Amino acid sequence: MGLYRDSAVVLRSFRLAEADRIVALFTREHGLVRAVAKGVRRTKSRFGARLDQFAHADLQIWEGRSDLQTISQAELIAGHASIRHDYDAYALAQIMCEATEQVAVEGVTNDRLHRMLLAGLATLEARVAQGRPVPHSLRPAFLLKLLGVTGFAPGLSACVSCGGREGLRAFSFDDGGLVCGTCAAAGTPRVDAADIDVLRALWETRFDDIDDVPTFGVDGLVQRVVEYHLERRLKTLRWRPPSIATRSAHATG
Amino acid sequence: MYEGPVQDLIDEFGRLPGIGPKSAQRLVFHLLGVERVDIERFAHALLALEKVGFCTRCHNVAAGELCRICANPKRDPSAICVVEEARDVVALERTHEFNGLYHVLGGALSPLDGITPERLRVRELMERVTAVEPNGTYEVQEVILCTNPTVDGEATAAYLLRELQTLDRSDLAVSRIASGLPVGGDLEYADEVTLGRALAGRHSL
Repeated sequence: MGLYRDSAVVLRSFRLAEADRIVALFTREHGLVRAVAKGVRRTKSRFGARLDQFAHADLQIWEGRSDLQTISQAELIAGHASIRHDYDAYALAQIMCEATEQVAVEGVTNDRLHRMLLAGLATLEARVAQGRPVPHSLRPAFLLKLLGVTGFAPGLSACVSCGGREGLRAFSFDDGGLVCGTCAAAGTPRVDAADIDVLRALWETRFDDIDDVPTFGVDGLVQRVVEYHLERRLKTLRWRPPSIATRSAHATG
Repeated sequence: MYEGPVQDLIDEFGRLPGIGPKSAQRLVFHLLGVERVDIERFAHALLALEKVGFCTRCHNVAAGELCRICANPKRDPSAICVVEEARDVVALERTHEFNGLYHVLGGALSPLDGITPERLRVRELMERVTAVEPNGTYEVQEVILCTNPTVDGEATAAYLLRELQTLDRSDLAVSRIASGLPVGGDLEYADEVTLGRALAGRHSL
């Protein structure tokens, strides 16, 4: 118990009472933290936009006896304020935050996940600020890398069952990666050579360097793999911005 | 705990947001001590809520088919101010700065809460904006996006802007409510995002 400082990304918040909010934070050293921001909804709040969703802030938090902690001070490191002005970037940032909240654990440090979330948000912020479109490939790329930093890195170089590098034809959820035609059990989702190339590119490429490659073949697959390991459905993955839905319709039509 | 009607009323008050058992008890014992005429006025006001609905035009709270703002012929129908909730209409009306009409969306986009564009009154807004008068002109000439300056509110405004731009209406003026420092506030305590917005939105004197 007591005061501590930590840097955190605001994942989401809920209204509480007249002017307060409960804020879900992904902190660098304390993992997932839920804290009350008192008076944050007032126009003259000392927190202002420092505790808006997607903001990266240096916080002073009071850990009392109750489960909920209290934010006593906030200094903005990066507001990522441009994201909200682009609908596609906003939708993708929501996915990043929801997925992170699902895998983050209270009181457990996950520095790689923290850095990855910041890199994802920074990429979106930079794209919007520069007037560049948000690449759709960023979505499956983030989810694939999320699996990696939570211990479920997909096996993409060889068959995860026999180790063979030839004839990779399916993706096994149970085994966590590509399997060859011999090892693939009935009902295992099929992937073709182009999909495998896309998966590898998404896995290996930094967010900054990801181009808008056509990922519709693997998008659904990555979503299913992530939800298989999380053992729950992500709401934001079902909320498709119209532009992506339109592009998807063009791709399938 | 208490005799029938008293406990019933405590329970009913206790179901209201922000009212706990102690507050409910205090309210009921206050009512027990007031004049009968005051009790009747209170009861009538509650029962009158049955007649309250939503304006068929702007979706604000209304006692009839149209709310008092839409029914007022002195209001300018060429300007529509888009807000999230009916409460926002009251806040804007208190400024006495806007003489147009409103459009209440019914919330803001929020993927985590499952609030998609289809669950907001976006289609109704587009219908209002594209409605043509008998003389062939569009009635609505300006749309002011007045959603909250929160992440969800800003994203909703971005979405609405994009939808409005897809309409075949190059003459339509679309604006966003300004944001910056609260009047009476200190620069010293302003957060970086708000202060940055205030600087970006500066105007010449």
